[in-house]
Amino acid sequence: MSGTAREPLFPLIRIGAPAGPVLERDGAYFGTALNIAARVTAHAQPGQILCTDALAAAGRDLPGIEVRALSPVALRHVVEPVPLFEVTAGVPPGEPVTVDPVCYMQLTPDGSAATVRLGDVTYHFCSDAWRHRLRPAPRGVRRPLTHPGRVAAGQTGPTPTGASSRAMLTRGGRAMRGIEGEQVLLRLILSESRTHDGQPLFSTLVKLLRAEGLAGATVLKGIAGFGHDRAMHTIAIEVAAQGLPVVVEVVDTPEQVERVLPKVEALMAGGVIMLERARVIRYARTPPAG
Amino acid sequence: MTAIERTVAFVLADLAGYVALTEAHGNAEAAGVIERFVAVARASLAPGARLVERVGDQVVVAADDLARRSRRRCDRCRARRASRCFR
Repeated sequence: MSGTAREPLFPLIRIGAPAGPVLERDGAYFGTALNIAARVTAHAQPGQILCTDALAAAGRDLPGIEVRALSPVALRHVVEPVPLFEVTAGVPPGEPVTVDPVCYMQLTPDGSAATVRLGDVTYHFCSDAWRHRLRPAPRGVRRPLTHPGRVAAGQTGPTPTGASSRAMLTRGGRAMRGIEGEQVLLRLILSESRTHDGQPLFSTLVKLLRAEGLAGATVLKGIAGFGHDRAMHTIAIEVAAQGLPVVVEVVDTPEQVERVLPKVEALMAGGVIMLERARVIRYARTPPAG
Repeated sequence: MTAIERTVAFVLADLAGYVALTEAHGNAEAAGVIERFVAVARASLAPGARLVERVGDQVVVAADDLARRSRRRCDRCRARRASRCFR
């Protein structure tokens, strides 16, 4: 990672480092550790190093190396979710680096071939060829690239170098994380008519979840239900008095959800708060229509 | 045919956005990036580690002495930090 960082005009790399018992036969290896290597690497963000528990244990003893446990990840054709760890080396900030959002080339801001400014974000490109792919998204949705399957965007200004900061490619100023794997689903059920500071409470909750950097939230409108007060709430009756139920669903890592839970509880002061286990199969940006 | 069971650490590194890079810059430049990538990977090998294969934009390194390999990586980081101080 540090070797490629020293190379001029070099793309970000991703590293997956599993370890385990394998069979070595005539110089070739056979075993799970090798089989899952590509999947671990594929799970890494550009600029990120991921390893499995065997290497994490070795890395923790080393000076200058930080090992952070991530949530276990379900890898295809592997029965149990695999615990993954992010490895970072404490490298101090050097030359400011920005990342081409299309080909992940590392650039100095004045070394970019093209720049495009969209809203409050400036995108730096290593070549002019891809610039036309960048279009403002409709209805204020921040969708910087029309290139399917891509979520990263380079941020303007000096970005500290180093493995961990490189992994924090941002979209709209917020870090994008992969949350595939075993996570939790936080479900909030409340009345549509509940308000907080003059705003609908569900709206305040969604704003809080967004501000806290959670992976995503969805608000569903119920058409009927009953709750603690046993009264039926349907479109036909009591709409004005109590309101229909709304459901706010949030999926993220257990750590993220637990961190935000006290704030949600304080805001809700009633209603239903539930936690469920959830296996996230896919967490990707919706491809552009057409 | 010899077969030995042992604990091995694998490092699989690939280039993020390599397909897009090839489209934007062409095959020749993309091939040049791969050559530099393999050269960096070779130069970063610790004793006991070997480059097993290179497929497309991926390099696979195998190492069977975890502690020694990790220490070497640490040394490289320290060397890098030191070199930055004098720039």
